[in-house]
Amino acid sequence: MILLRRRAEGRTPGPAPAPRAARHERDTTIGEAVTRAVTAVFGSVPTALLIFILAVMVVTAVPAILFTGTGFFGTYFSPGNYYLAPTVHNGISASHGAVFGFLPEMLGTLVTSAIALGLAVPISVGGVLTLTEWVPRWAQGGVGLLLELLAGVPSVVFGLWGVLTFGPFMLRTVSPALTGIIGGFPWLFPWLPQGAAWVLLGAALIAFIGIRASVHGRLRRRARWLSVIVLFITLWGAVAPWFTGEVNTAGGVLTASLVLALMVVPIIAATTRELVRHVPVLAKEGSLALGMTKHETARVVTLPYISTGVLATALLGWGRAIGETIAMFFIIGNIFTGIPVNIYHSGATLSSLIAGTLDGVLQAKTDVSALFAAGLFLLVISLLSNLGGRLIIRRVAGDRALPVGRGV
Amino acid sequence: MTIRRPTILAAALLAGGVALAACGSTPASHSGGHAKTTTATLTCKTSAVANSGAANAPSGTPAPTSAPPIQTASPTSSVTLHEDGSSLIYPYLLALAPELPSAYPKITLSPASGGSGKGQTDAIAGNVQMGGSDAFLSSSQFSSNPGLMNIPIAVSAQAVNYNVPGLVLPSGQTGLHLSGCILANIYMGKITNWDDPSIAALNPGAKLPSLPIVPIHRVDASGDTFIFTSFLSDTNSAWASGPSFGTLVSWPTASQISANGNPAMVQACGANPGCVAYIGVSVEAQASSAGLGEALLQNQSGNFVLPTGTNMASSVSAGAGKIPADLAVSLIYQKGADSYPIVNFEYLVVKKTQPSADTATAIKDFFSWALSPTGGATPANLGTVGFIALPSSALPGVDAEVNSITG
Amino acid sequence: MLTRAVGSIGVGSQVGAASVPGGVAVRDLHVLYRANELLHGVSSTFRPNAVSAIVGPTGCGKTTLLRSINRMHDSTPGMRVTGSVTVGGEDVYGRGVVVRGLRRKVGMLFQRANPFPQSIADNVSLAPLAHGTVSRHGVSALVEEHLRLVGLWDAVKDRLDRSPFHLSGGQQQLLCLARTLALSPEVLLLDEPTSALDPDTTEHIEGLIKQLSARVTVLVVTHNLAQANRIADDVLFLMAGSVVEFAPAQTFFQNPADERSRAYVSGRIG
Repeated sequence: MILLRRRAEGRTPGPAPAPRAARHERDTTIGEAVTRAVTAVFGSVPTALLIFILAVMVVTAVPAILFTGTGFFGTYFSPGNYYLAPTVHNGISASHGAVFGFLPEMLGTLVTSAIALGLAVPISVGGVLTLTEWVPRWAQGGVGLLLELLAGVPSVVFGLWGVLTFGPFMLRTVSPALTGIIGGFPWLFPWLPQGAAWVLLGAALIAFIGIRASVHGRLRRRARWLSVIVLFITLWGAVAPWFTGEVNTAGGVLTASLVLALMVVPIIAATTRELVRHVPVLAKEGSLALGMTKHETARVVTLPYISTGVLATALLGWGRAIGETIAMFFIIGNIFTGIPVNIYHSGATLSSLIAGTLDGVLQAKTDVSALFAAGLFLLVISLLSNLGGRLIIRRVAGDRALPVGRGV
Repeated sequence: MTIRRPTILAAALLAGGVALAACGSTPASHSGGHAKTTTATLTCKTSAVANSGAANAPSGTPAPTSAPPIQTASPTSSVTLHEDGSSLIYPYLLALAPELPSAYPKITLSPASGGSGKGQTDAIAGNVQMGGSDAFLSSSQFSSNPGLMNIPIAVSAQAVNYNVPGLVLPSGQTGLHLSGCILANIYMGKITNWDDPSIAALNPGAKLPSLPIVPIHRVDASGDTFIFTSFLSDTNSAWASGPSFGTLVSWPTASQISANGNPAMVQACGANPGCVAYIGVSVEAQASSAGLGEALLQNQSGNFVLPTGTNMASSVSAGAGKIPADLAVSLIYQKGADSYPIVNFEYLVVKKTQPSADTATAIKDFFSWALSPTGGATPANLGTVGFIALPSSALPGVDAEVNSITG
Repeated sequence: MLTRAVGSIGVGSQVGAASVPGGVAVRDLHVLYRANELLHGVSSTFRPNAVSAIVGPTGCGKTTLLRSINRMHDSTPGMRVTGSVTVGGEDVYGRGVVVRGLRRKVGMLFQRANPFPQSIADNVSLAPLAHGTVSRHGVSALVEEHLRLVGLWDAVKDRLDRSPFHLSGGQQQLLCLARTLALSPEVLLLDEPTSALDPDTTEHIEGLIKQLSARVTVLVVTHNLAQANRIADDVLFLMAGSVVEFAPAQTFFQNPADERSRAYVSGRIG
C-alpha cells in the first residue's frame, strides 16, 4: 500500500512531493472513498438493470425477429395452431400459421394513449384551476383527497367498471350518437378517403411551416390563425372518418381510451394541483392588483407558470397510459387480426396482446419470443416518446420560448 | 401416434373435400366475392354430409377393453392437488372439491380457471399436478413431453349462444337452428347478417331481424376453441383448410370481439347485440340468465339438437368405440339421430411420474373417487354443470393410464 | 400640512381634500387577521398629487395599510377590515364597489418585480385590453408610450415579443411600473419598490416617482428613511399598528412632534 503510494508520488512531475499531509488535510478521506464506491454501485443499479432487461428481451426476441423480419409491421397476429404441422422459416420453427404483425397493436397503443392524454390534460388543468380559484379552501382538501384516492384505484377496478358498466353505456348511448353526429355532417370532410386526408395533412403541415417562416410583422398573427385553421381542417379530415360507421361492441378502442383518460386524470390533476399551489402569490397579485379577474389571472399568470410542469406530468401520464395493461385487456376487445375499421371497434394494444396471449403460448418458444418482441416494441415506443416529450419540455422551458403566452 | 395425427389431418381434409360440395362453395370463390352475391352458393345443405368425424378415425393402439381398477391408498401426509386450466371443467371441479375430503381427508383439491392452454402448459411445467383441458393433447405435445397423459373424467358439451334482439321463433322451437357450416361461414365473414337466407332456410317460420352478426372468439388458448373449431372443420371445408382446429387458431378478421374465459364470453355476448358465441355447457345457467339464446345445432342426421344428457350420450356411444390407448379422441359431429355435435371428454393432463409417492397416490385416489358414481361423478354433480359420466367403455383405458402413475 | 396624533384627525376639515380625484382618506381603519389586530384604528388623509411615505419599523403595519387601499386583503382568507377608506371621495369598501374598477384607478407596485410570464409588450397591454381602455389598434402606441415613460423603450424595443425574465431586476421593476401606468391610475401604491434594486435604478425610479406625483397621488411604503427624505412630501410614521405622527416631510425629519418619531429619525429605534 505504502509502496504504491510512493510510486505514484514519485511519478508526479513538478516540485518535490510535500511531506505527507495529515489525514484531515487530504482531499479524499477513506470515508469519502467508501461513500463514493457505495453510491457508484447503487447509482449504476438502475442502468445495469435496464441494460440487463433490454439484453434479455433482445436475446429472447431473436428467433421471432429471424422468423418474421419486417413482418412485425404487418397487420395480422396469430400465435398459430399447435395441432397442425409447424411452419419453418429462416431456420426457425413456429406453430402452424404463426404470423407476428404488430402494427395494429402499436397503433392501438399510441392512439389510446393519445386520446386519453388529449382529454385528460385539459380536463385536469381546467378542473384544477376551477378548484383552486373558485372552490372554498375547506372543500379543496376534500376534493384533493378524492383525487389522490382515485389515483390509487387499481386499474383492474377501472377495467371491470369499463367492461360491466361504462362499455354497455357507450354502446347504447355515446358511440351511436357520436357516429351519427360526425357521420351526419358530410361537409365536414368525412367523404375523403383516409389516405387522401393524410396527404392533405402533410400539405397543410408544409403550408404551416412555410407561412411561419416567410411572414413577419403585422401579418404574422393572421397567418398563424390561418395556418391553425388549415391544420385543424386537415386533421379533422384525417381523424373524422375513424369516428364514423358501425358501432358493434361495448368495448373497443374509444371506450378503452376514455377509461384510460379517466385513469390518467388523477395522476395529472394531483400534480397540477401542486403546481398551481406553488405559483408565487406575488405573481398572481401583480395581475389582481391591475384589476384583472381570477379568470384572467389564471390564463395570464398561472397557466404559463405551470405549463412546463404540466407537460412533464403529461409525460408521466403518457408513460402510464402506454404501459397500462389489465384495464386495456379487459376493455379493448383484443382483436389481433387487423387495424380496426373505426374507433368504436375492438382493437388491441401491445400490452393487451401480451397479457391476452402469453398464458396460452408458453409451450411454443417462437410465440413467446414474438411476445418478447412485442414487449421490445413497447419499450422502444415508451423510450422514444419519453425522449420526444423531454425535447418538447426543453423547448418550452428553454431560452427561446420560456413561459411566453400568446397574449390576448 | 406420430403417424396417427397426420392421418387425422388428412382425414379432415378429405372430409372437407366432401363437405365442400355440401357447402356448395370453394375456398377460391370465397376469397374475393362479396357475401351478398355469393349467398346462394354459401347455402349449407343438410343432405350429403360425409362423415367427417374427421378426428376420430380409429388408428394407433386401441385402449384396453379391460383393466384392473385403480389402486387406491391413503397418502401418508396431507396433499393438495392443484389444478388449473379449462374454464369449462372449472365449475365441475369446484363442485367436487368440497366433497373430496369426506372420502380422502388428507387430499385437498384446489382448482383454478386459466383456460385449457394454461392448464396444459402448467401441467407440463409441473406448476400444477393436474391441468384441466377440453382438448386432448396434440401429437407434438405428446412427443415432446414423454410421460404426459390426458385422462378424461367426464363428458362435456358446448353450446352455441346468441344475442339477437328482435328474433321471433315459431312456436315450439326453443332456439335458433344453426349448422356448423353456417357457423363457419359466419366466423369467416361470409355470412354477416342475421337475416341471411341461409340462416332463414334452417329456420322456416322464424322472423329474423336485419342485424349484423358479431361473432365472438376466445382470446386465450382454449379447449372450447378446440372443440368448436373441430366442429367447424368437420362441417366446412374452407374452415378445415383455413383456420382448422386448435386451442389457438388463426382467426379470420370477421370475428371482431374476443373474450377471456367462458364467463367473459357470456358477458361479452350479453353486452353486444347481434353476438354469437361458443360457450361450454357448464356455464349455460349464466348464459340463459344473461338472456342469451341457445342454438339447436344440426347433427349428421340433419336433426337440430340441444346438448341434453341423452343427446350427449348418443354422441359418446357413437364415438367411444374407437378410443385409443392415449385416450385422445374426438367426439365431435358423431353419427346418430340424436347425437349433439359438439361433445368432448373433459381431460386432466397429468404427468406419469410424480415428484413424490404421496402425490402419485393422491392423484390415483382422486381419479378413483372422481370417476365413481358414488364418489364425485354423482348425477347431482354432473347435472349442475350439464356433464354426463364417462361411458363404461372408456373406463378400462382410463384405469390403465391412472394406474401407470408413479411417485 | 397635517400634524396629528393617533386617531385625532378632524373629519370635517379633511373632506375637501379627500374628495378630489386621487385623494385618499383612511378613517378608523382596523385590520384583523383572525384574532390579531394588525391596525388599531388608523386615520389619515393623503394629499392628492403628492408623495406620501409610510415609514415605521418592521411589522408596524405599513404594507397592511397600503393593501387596504386597493382591497388586496380580499383574497386572503381570515383578513377582516373595518372602518372606511375613500379614494376620490368614494368609499372603497362601500356597497356596490367594483373591485376591478377600483384597482384600475389605484395601481400597485410590489417589493419585488413580478412581470407576467408573457411577452414584454403583452405585459404592458394585457391589463388595458382586459379593461377595455385601449383598442387593439392602439396597443403598440400604448406599449411604446409607457415603456418610454419609464425609460425602458430603448432597452427592449427589439425584443418586445420576448420574455421579460431575461431583463435585469431593475428593468423588470420598471416594466411593472409601465404596466401599472398603462391603466392611467389616479393613485399609485408602492410597496418598498426599490428594496431589491441597485442604487442607479433606485435613483431612476425615485426620479420617476417625483415626476409622476404631478398627476398621481403616490403612497410609498419604505424602510429607507433617506429615500423618504428624498422623495416624500408627507411622512406617515406607524408603530405597532397605530399612527404616531403624520407630518410634512421637512417637519418630520427636522422637527418631529413626537418623541418616538425623533427616536426613529435619529436611528435609535426601527
